[in-house]
Amino acid sequence: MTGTTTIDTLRALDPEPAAPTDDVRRRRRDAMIERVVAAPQQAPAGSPRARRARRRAVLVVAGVAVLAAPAAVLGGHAALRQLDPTAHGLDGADLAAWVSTSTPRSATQLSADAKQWCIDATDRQAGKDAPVSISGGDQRGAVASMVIHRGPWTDMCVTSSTGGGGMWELASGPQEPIAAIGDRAVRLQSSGTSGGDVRIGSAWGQAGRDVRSLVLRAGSRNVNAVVVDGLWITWWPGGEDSDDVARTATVTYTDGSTAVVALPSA
Amino acid sequence: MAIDEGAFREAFAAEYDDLTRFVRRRSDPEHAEDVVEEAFVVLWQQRTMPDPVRPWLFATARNLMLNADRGRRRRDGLAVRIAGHLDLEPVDRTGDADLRMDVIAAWRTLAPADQEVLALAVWEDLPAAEAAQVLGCSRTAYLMRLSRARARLKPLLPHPSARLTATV
Repeated sequence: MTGTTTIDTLRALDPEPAAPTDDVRRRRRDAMIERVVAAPQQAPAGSPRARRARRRAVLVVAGVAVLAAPAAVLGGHAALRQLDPTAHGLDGADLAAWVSTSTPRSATQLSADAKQWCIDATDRQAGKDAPVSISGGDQRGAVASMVIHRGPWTDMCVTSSTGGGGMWELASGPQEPIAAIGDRAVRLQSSGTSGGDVRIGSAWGQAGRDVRSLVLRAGSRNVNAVVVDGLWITWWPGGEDSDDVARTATVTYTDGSTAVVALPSA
Repeated sequence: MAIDEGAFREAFAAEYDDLTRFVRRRSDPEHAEDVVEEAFVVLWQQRTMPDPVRPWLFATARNLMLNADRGRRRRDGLAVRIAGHLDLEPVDRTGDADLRMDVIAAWRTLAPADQEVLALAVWEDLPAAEAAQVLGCSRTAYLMRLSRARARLKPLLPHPSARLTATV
């Protein structure tokens, strides 16, 4: 019998224990901070409304959110977006108006403010001159969701109907292709929670050409998602563990039939 | 409005080492510097300094790493490395060595989500509220996940000396 506990042992197995800073590391550190402070601090541009939208544009990734401020390039790195683990861009009023079943909306039925916010939010440097089209989406209370195509990129976007804030995520692009799935299949690409005091859960994924909509179980809620161009996105007021999306979903097909099917993650 | 450069440099100096170690535990060491630098750029571009800044930086770096590999890892968390090897001959083992190898073997069978909560408690040594912020959940949820991770680790340890008596 040893006097060492498992946690003591685990602590000793730290793969990166604290170590004195040597010259090589010090030089790397010093060079890094000079590169970082040489990068521009984001300067607001455009109308007051556009400034607010840009600051609040977020990309939900695994439970935290990415501000969609203009991309920055630093030291040969790929384009960066601002990250803010506490933001998702929706406010308490947006969440208060949440409903479990959304209403499908064509591109022309979506509000102009919401569409403009999403177009601005997904205005990436490399593709800002590419033609933009919106395929439609849905309306959930005060919040609109939509699919945006910009050249070779496709984005999912969620925003309040007034265009005051929201979140978006790249669904596919030249460097981020997604594999095709079967005509009657659905797939979860990502899910997570974001926000500080006002938290939401969200998920998006793919659906086959025969799928019209689906209902998934997220935490303790059932929430629907409308399929547009083979993609779906949905969100819900979230608390702890609310990103636990069930591995099955109830699917409604274009012929009106329904089935409970597996919802595998990519 | 932007973060003051002096305050940023102070935060950089205070957090660089720990953020680097946090990232290296969860990523290819070759790419760790890139992730750390990107996280600091994001901080530099904030309008105000997050308070506390450490869990904010850890959460941002974690997000960058998760975003680098879409799909399964996004749902399940980031795998965390553990030090040590399983190549000691039985004759060379002491009681502590046995326990060490049991812990290494058990760690490698844990789900990434369990590895993450245990690492935040044992290696990053973060208070529960800050660890929760890193994972994007409530303090209560974090403590629940930690308790479950410890419970899942325990039966993976076959050696009789393996105990989970320390408080994390």
